[in-house]
Amino acid sequence: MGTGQVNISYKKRRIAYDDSEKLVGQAVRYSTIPYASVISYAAQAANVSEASIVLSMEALFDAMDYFVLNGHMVKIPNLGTFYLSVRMKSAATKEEFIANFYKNFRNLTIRFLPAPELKAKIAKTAINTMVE
Amino acid sequence: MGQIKVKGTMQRVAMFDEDRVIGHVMHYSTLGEDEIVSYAAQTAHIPESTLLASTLAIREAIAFFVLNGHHVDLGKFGIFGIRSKQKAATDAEEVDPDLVKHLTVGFKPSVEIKQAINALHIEIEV
Repeated sequence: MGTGQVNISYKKRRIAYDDSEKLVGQAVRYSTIPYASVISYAAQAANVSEASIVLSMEALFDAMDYFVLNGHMVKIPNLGTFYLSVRMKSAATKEEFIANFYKNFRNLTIRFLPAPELKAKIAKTAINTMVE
Repeated sequence: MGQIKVKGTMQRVAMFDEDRVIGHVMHYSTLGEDEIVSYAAQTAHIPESTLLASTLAIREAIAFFVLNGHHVDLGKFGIFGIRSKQKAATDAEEVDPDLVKHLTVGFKPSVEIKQAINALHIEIEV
């Protein structure tokens, strides 16, 4: 039995590289669950007051931000690993790398790598397709 | 807020067919849930048991909502959502779940985190 169900909606779109129109798929997003609803759901599931969940989440997010933004990886079991990643152009030599660092620099971002347990749940998720 | 080190290492770059210097963020260590919970408990004066119960519930909530097609907004942390990769179809008859090659959970950092990232002090090392 699957753990969830995801719909992939196909819509006709122009494909530039082969100059044709094809049906292109995209995962359907039903809604964005607001933070307050996530807190309320978690409070009921954990049998803890919403105030405690809010305080806990704020403290945990602050801790995760602090460590990730100081070059550490943070691994949350059953969820995944968060780490900082840089996107920049390569350089021919080490001297050039240093000299042109900010010119070649594009951005820094937090990446998320799902944990094997989450990947296993994803693998069990039922996929439905539809055409718009 | 933070300080990171970007290290340049010589690596093979296929598209140039030559060795070039590539930048990577240096990762000092991998911290587990216990360490994060312990740090958060000390800084925010919250019992570790409450923090552990909260993380467990939030983890379950993320998996439940995301794997049912919703995005989950975690406020100042970011948004989790489902992401998929699939082949395009030429006509409606061809559309089938087998075209979906990859399904994963994605994370988009919040504006607050992006601002904190932009304010980071970067040290360069080769």
